[in-house]
Amino acid sequence: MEFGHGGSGEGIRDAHDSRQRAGLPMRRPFDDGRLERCARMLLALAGLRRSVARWIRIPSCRTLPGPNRLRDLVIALALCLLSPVLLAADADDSVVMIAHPGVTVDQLPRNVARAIFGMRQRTWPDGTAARVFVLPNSHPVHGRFVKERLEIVPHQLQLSWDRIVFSGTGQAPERVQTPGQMLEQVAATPGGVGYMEQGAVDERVRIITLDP
Amino acid sequence: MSAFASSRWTPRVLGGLLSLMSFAASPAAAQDVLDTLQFQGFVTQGLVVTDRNNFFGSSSSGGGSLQFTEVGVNASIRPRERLLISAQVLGRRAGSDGRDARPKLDHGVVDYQIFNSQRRSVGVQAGRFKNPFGFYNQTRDMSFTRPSILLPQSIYFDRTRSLGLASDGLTVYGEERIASGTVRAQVGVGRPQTNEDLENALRLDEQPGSLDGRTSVIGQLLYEHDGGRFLAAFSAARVRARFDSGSSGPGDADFRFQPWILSLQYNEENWSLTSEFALRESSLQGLDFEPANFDITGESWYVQYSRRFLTDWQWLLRYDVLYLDRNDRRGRDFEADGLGPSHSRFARDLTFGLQWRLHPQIMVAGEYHHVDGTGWLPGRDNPDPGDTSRRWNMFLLQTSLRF
Repeated sequence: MEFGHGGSGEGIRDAHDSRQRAGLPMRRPFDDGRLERCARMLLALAGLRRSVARWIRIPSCRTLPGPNRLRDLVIALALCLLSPVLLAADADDSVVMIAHPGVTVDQLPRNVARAIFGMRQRTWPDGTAARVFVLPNSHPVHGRFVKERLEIVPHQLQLSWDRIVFSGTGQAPERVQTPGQMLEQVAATPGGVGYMEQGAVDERVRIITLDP
Repeated sequence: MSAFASSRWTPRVLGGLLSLMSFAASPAAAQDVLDTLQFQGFVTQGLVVTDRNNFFGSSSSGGGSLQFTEVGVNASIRPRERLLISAQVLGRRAGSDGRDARPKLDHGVVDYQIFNSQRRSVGVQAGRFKNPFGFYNQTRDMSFTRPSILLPQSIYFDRTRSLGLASDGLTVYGEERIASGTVRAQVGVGRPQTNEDLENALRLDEQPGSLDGRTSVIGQLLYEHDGGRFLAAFSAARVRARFDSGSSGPGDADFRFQPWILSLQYNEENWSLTSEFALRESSLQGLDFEPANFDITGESWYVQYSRRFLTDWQWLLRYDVLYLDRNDRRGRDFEADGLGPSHSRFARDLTFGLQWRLHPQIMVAGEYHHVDGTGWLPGRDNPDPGDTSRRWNMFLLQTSLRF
């Protein structure tokens, strides 16, 4: 996380927090680990290419000018520094919590959202039943929502569902296969709740922001 | 699965669920209630191979034992917002002739949430509820919730599993969300189940008479920090059973079992460190043959490290220790009194396990145990304690399917 929490990252984080407080849609290029993943991948690729080249002794690689390690590092760093710009250019893809428009909540404490998605909180604050929809565990949007928004470890969530179901203390969430189905189901089910990428949300559902 | 078709519980459970649906007022409401109906289940088949001693069948001869099967079906419905009805039927064979594999009602509860706010929820469960005992007891027979094929036997021992499994009675639970995490508490009062395994462990199985559970109390306090990063729990119980022998038997006796368990777990995305420590006071008083009575405190603990890798894989390393009598850890007094071999009073188990979830619904696992002592070895797989070996190795393979 050295990139995400570094000096300039804080400024961006603050800017996003103020957008969140103002109820504005958020976009956090520094906050979702993509940058770190990108950096790691590039460094790993650079390292891999070098060792493969050394192993199979490709002459062209050995005769490349300059110290390879340094050059690879410079390229990786340059790409990573550019990546916020590149990533910001794509659609608004931060993952947000969504609910049926009849749900009378705009904001929830994070631990209440954890309890709802953990299937321990069965009702909304106004007393209506919560109907939880989730994507398959392997779906990237699911992973990002659980890690970045709920801030819990994904495997713990599956485990807590199993423990609740097989001990008779609760029910499992309802599975949908695609973000499109997620939107349809949450929009059509009173008390429905789910998550999706911000850019794909439309007016049929309500966005719920999470307090820390 | 044919066992379930003939199960006497299945029609009853389904009948109960159908009658519940019928009290929904309008067709639309009935449809809403039906929408909440869920069925889930699992099938697990294991292979157990040991070099010496038997575990779950005659595992030390031939190619090992396949007498390790778990089949469960679970149904739940929410007829009202605050009301949940859930039942599970479990067929489990772990050694023996298969009679035990007959499906039994594992749990069957009506759960009502009395109070519910953003900060707090309080509810009550009536029926057969699973005992909240350590981290794993409530779902101990569902392989997908276990970190390994066998749970640490020092605490979740199979040889007297019926006693700790579930109680028929009433339990109250509460959850309080505080800034740093969540506190959960549960207290239950009920009658425990006392099957042959307990009679066997108490050496009352050959005696005339019957062992019946009496009103017992169980409770757990659990703190979950930061969405489950750190977990701490304290569980305690006071379980009682009565042995009525009639005039020809060994005498009427009271059995008392009082365990305390401290559980700790730290979770990171790719690894977990878990440890539990238990003290168990148990006594049997009232038998005419005085040496058969006892009043001892047992001690158990384990430390377990599990690591997830390549998204679907996990390996696990665990060291698990059991002393049946902490005043006689090595069993020397026990052997000197002529009650059995000293190594039957302790067990130290080093386990290495590997799990692969090749599909969200399929899991394959393998496990190796190196064990010193036979403290948790089931008596019915090894009828003569004098015939057991102190040091033994065990290899397990398991395939599980959930639906």
